[in-house]
Amino acid sequence: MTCRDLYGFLDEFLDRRLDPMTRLNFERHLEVCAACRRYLASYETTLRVARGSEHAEDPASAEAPAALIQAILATRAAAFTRPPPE
Amino acid sequence: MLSVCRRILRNDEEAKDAVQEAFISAFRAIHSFEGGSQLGTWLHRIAVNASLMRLRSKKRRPEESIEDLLPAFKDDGHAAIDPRDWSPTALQMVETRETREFVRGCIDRLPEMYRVVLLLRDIEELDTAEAAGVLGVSEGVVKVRLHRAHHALRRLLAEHFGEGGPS
Repeated sequence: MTCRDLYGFLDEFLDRRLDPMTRLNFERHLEVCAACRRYLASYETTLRVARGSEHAEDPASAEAPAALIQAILATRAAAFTRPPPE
Repeated sequence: MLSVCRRILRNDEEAKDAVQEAFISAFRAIHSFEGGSQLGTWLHRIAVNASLMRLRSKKRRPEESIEDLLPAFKDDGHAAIDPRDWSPTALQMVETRETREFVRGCIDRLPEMYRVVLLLRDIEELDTAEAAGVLGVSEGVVKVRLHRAHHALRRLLAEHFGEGGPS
């Protein structure tokens, strides 16, 4: 496996979606290639930093408000129980 | 819901309009809501869709080429640029609001089709099939765009946090 090949498998590696043979070759390359180890570390950090930056300004609770959920569920329940128009 | 729309549209007024449209869609589609799934998740997906609809109607901004941001390799398959691991610096600096704004700015520099896939998959946590569905593309296309978006974003961050010269 070359550095070019390894770069192509980074997402599958991080998501644990590599087949066993490719994963073995990936890890063997990492053992001998310090440059790819550095790239992998900074690639992972890129994903973490992106998530952290996008979610940092979210309100404390990203969940839909309980009152809104109840209102929607009530509307839905009423719609199902209402007799059809004649 | 407003946070979701803000992330995708990057504009407060547009985001508020998208939330209103999402609520209208939600009430119209209330019959299709399957009680078994989480209502919050259902609303989230509707907000994503409303934002994407607005995004499609907006005029495209000039974009950088993604190709210029992807890693380059020598003939023997080695990386053309010796990468640095700037993780400690980045993880420390991202604690500041300025750095988080800078990172969001880097995400915004990605061409739209890559930025949206990155937001849907990594930030809004849609799976590949869901992202493909809302974008109307194949799952393979989503995977390729996400992969390229990751490399390109890493490159933009590396320019800020420090990268070595040719290897």
